[in-house]
Amino acid sequence: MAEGGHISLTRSASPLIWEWISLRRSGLRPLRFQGALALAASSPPTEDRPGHTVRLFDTSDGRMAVAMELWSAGCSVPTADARVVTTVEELVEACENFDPRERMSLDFTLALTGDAVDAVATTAAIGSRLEATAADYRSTVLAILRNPCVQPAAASAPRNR
Amino acid sequence: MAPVTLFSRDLSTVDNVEPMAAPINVFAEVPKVKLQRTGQRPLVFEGVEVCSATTHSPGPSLWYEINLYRKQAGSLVIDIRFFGKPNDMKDRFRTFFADSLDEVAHILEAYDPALDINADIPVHDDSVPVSVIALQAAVVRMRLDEARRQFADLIGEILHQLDVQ
Repeated sequence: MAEGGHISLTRSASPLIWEWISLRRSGLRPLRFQGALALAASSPPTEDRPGHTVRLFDTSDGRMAVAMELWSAGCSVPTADARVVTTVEELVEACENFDPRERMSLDFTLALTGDAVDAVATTAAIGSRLEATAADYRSTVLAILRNPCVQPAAASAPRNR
Repeated sequence: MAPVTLFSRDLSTVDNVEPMAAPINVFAEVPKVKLQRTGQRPLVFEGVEVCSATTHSPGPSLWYEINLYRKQAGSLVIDIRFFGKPNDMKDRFRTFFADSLDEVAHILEAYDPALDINADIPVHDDSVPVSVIALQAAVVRMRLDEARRQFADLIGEILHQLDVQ
């Protein structure tokens, strides 16, 4: 974990009670299914980088659904994706394909229009934010995948991209 | 470590009720809505807000807001607002009309945020150095990517609030 200790993991109570769940997907209609929350992990946003949540659901037809959300501080709308997966490999792939570095609001204006010192400083600061956010996200995903109920995933943890 | 209540965000969303099904009380006074439209007269009608969302946050230099209204007659009005911080980005307000939530979804899915980004680059002005043109092009590209990303997030949020399938 990038900053030690601010990740948290919950496991839903059993027995499972199916309910209609609707998950946000950026640019798309929501993913809707009958299911129950199985696992959730999150890292809260800070002033300089976004937080995120990863939730794993059991679906009533025996599959899993995974929801990833990236929350920027002060913004009420997340960048989100959700998918139904049938295997642990698909779960890992879904988590990997949600790359927070491609989904963050970045302002390069100063780097493009300021002087050379501004440009270097801005680019370095943005690069550092991107990598810290990606590290946080990878930690959250690993917390999900290492949980005993997703045990087969431990052997195929996400690549350190 | 304290568990996080992750469903709280979902529960706080405006409309898990069906917005088209909720009747407007015909005996109550229906509020008058006045929407600013870029390049057009304001749109005035009697109706109620069904849902709204914005991508505004302290950081980015542009953001979107979408408001959905239901007119007293039952049809829907989509109000899309683009805001830009820098002086060279003008706020733009557009309205669209729909008869169903599915039509709302189609309109939002078809909307291209490129309409809102000023892409005037002085390519025909020989006095402007190529390096400046390249920088301006990079800024336009960056803003376009940001506008498209934010608008996609906003569509996802609105369609989630409306639970459109």
